[in-house]
Amino acid sequence: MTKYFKSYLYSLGILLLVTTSGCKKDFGEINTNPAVVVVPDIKYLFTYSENSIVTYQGGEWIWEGMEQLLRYSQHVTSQSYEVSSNVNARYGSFYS
Amino acid sequence: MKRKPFAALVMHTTKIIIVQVILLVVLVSSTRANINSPLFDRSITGVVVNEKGEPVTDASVTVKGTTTGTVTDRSGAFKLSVPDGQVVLTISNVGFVLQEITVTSNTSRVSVRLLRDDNPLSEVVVTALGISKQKKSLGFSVTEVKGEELAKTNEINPINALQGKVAGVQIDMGGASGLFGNTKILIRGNSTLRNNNQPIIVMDGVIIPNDILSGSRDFGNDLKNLNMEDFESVSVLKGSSAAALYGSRAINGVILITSKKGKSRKGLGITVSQSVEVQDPYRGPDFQNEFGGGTVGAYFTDTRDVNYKANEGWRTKVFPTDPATGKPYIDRQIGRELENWGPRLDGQDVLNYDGTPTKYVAVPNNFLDVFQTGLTSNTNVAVEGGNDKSTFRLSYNHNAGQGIVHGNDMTKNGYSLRATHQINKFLSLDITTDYNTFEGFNPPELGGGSYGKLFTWVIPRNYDTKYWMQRQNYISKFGGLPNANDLNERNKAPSLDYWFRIGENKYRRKEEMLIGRIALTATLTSWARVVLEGNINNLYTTNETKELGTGINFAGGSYALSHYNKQSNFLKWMVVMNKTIHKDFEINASVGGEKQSMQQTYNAASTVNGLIYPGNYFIANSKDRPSASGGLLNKTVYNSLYASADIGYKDQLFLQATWRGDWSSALTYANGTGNNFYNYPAVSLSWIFSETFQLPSWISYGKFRTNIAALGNTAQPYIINPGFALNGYVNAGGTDYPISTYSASNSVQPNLKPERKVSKELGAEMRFLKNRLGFDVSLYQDNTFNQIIDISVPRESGISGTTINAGNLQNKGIEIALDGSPVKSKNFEWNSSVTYSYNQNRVVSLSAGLKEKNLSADVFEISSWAVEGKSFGVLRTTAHSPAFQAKNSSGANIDNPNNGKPVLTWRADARAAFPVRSNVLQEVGDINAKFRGGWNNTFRYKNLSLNILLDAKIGGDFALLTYRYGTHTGVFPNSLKGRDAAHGGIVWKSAFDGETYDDGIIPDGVFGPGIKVTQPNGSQVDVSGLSYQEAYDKGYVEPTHLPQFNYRYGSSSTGVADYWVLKNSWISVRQVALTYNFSPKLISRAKLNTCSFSLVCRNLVYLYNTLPYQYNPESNNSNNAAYSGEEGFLPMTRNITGTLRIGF
Repeated sequence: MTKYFKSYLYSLGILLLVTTSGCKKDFGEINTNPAVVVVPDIKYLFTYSENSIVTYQGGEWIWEGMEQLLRYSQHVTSQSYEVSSNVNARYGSFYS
Repeated sequence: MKRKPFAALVMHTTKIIIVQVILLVVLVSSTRANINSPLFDRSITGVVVNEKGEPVTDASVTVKGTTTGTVTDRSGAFKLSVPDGQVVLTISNVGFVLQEITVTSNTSRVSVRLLRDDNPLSEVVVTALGISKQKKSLGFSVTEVKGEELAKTNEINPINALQGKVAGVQIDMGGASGLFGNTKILIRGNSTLRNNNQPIIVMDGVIIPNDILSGSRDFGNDLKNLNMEDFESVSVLKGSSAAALYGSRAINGVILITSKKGKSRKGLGITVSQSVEVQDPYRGPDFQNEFGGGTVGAYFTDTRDVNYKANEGWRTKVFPTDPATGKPYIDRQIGRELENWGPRLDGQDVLNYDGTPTKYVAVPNNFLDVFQTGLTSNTNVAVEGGNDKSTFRLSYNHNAGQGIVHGNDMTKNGYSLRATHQINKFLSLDITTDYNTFEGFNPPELGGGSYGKLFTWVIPRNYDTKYWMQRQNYISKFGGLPNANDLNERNKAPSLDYWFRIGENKYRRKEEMLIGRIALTATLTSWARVVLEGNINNLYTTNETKELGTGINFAGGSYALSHYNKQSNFLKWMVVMNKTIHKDFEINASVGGEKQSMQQTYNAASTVNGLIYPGNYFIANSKDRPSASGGLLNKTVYNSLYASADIGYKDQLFLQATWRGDWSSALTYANGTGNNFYNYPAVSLSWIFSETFQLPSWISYGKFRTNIAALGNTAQPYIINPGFALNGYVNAGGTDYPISTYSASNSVQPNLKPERKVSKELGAEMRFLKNRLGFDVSLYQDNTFNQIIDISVPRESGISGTTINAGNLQNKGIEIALDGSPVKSKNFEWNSSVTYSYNQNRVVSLSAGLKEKNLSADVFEISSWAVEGKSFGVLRTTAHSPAFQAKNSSGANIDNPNNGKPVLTWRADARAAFPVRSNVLQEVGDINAKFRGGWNNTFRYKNLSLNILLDAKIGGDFALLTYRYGTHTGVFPNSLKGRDAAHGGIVWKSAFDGETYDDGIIPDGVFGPGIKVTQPNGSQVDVSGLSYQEAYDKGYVEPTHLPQFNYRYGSSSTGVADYWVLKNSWISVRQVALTYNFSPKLISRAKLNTCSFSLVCRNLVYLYNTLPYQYNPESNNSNNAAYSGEEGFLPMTRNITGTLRIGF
């Protein structure tokens, strides 16, 4: 009885140690996406921004630009489509 | 097929089987070795049966006054050595009244009939962490359903089997997704603002996630891999108090499955069951069958067939004429969408879509013709055995068949082994290994590619589905899909791509689910034991897509192959103690800790821009460089500690307190800091007041219960640690340059906190008239605070949104369960139970300055919102018409008979008036049902029992996109009124062209401000503020052509949402089941243990259905919490299953 009892207590003790001592161990690392980097190389960010401006709606810089849009429309309505598609999406491609 | 991964898989499977066989051998041999020889003088054999004559297993049989005893085996038989002379045997079992029989010295065989114990004081249920508790001691609501009852339904998704059986559980079947699709389940409403509010499933301590659908083909989530034949019981832990011990993942409740284990018995017990299920697609929506395909008229953007006569620009119900042959033909409407405004279907001689002569007739069943009778076969073999030291149960399940959609096939294999062994006096072992494989093909496409859309948007009423579905009719003579724009192509039949996809493409998913579990229990003292448990639950998914090219000679096509691995590990220790410290006080306590880790990895590759060799499916067969991706999708770890204590006083007052603390990796910043700890205290109280007070004798039992609990939840992994991600490449001047940007479009609130749910519950249970009648009522209120939600912010800030802690979402409700036995005699018995649940969901608050949140669960133009002061799931749209309100010159509202009518607009190019879109967000519905209920009846006459289950959902709005499509194209009966003079159409001679028409209608509504109608003479008349009728009476407008009205009323650019967000209430005859248990006499003569036959009909018919034209009310396209609607449906389908179950 005592022999068994002791070994149970030991194994229990070990398990307790294993599960509780490391309550937050490695959590920072676990919760970091391996597919992102913290310090980027600026040239790839620049390429991304360039690309967004060039490809947005077939070429933001050619004919559908914000400046052009405002030139031929008297006002941008507050209707949700107008704001989300014509204004916000452009901000999105400029600022992201 | 037989490439290396397959070989590896075979090896893997073989290994598992070998391990199982070894275990089996060890167990069986140990069973043999442990039969000890009794020293008694004689033996008694006997059989224990219940009131119905069915064997009672596991009943304990002891010689009164001694410790000698045994338990009955699966056939209810026992053998016991007893001393000479007269003895008294005590026979008892959980749920039965204890019985004593006197055995005289010359009796060697006895037969005992145990009576069911209706006394609720002795009822036992499985609760959190798999601990069985006396139901009377619980201060919260738990509903237990027997595994046998669920297995009988033969449903593939176990959630469907629970439909209508448990109060407080809301189930919406995904009737549009085919044989093995998902079903939405909620317990006590939507408690978080996320899209998945489904409870988790815990089987013997192994957590099985309950994910929501992603993608347009529904292969079903992890739950379809479970085998209900292995379920002993299913407990639905409704309140948070019941689930609090499961921590974060239990915020939406827990469904607890206890699997079967072997029983101590003589020899091996073998149970074989064979089910054959037929699925009958019996009714689709009712279409009109009077008019067939044809265009709405000449129309300003689309091109109309050139072979209509010049004066037929506004005329419908005419055929174009082939100039070569001079024969009329059915308009294929090339270059525009297909409509159903053609001539009356009178059997006219016309040319078909492929130029062959045919009769122009309706094909009334052309929708149902798409489908076949589904047929599945489910075989289960279970072998079990055991002695006083060891038990085992090994089962094999094979479930295969075809659904109602062609090609929607499935094969499931399940191997399960559960073994228990008492190693020595102190140590016992419980092991489970489950290995389940699933291979499914071609679930029907949802949304744009669905049959629902096909038959409401494209296919006219004269379309002969059966003919065009044949391979020779959907494949072009040039190979590939007939191209209607190719002048050399004679076959111009519409929508052949659907049949091409069904017949030629393969969408395959293979899943392997491996569950391994080992639990070691060490008995330290008579009142304390330690449980050590570890388990893994891994799901390996392979997706494969093979699409044949639709170009000439099958050019094009694609092949994609991806693998997803979902792995979870679980380790747990727990110390359990129970002790009676005083004769009136009993204490049960436990402390424990666990570690859960989950991760998902994937890799995916696909061909780009078509296949080099058509019809050959491998990645290297890619015209352009194939695309490949892969990596770690997410990883989460939880570490937890918990403790619970129950104190019982005099067996009538029970107090239970539980506490759990979770450390979650997902709330930890990269530097290791963060609010990553949260805890869940819960207290519950149960008082058996019928034990405390002397109550009148007609009250048999009375209990009050109450509890309060707090739950928490973590964030999605990685969101608080953003960085810079690579976004592929951009090609410039022939060179690929990598591009990169910030990985999140959202910012995250600093010091993000865990979510918090607080729930309170009050309940009562009472039984009357010797337990013949009873009720169980629960009142609850749950609030979830600090929800981790994304809110949008102005784009100028450079981000699209921010993730914050906010909100208070509340669910308040009542659940009632009544049950009674109106008739109870030896041969005839009628048991009846009723469940009712009412849940009121309310968004108490969102965030400062934020009063509403889009839940991203759109059904076309209908979006689903959480709105402060309203509920989770308010349906809104900008496409609803405004209501007219007359105003005086100073702008004040004035009375007018036209007030409230829809505001109309006018399109000169259609000469039609129709309701205008308001273009502001209007509320058009609420997805939350008013209440749900179920009524379950079981009638038993001798060995025959009949079960009838009805269930109902009342209220809750549903968006029927295809009803809008069908209104637009004219396939539904709502397009008949006014279609010709015989259907009430106004006949008039148009002043525009001098032609006489008979399809005029007067739309109901009032012209909006500034509407001017151009007259035939070119002048314009202002009709604003006039109803159409008034304008018509004044001669300002001619009648609107019905086809033009319907077209505008439902089109993508001008259609309104006025008529297709509808109340979805129904009463369903969910199940009618007839079971015959062969008489024990017959069974023993055949040397069997059990033998029964059952015939179960599921989803027999809807007694009440508020959707129009017999739409299938269970067509919800997703198990996403905020989604209520369809963009495609399947017909109503009833399943009939015959099952023969034999035990040796």
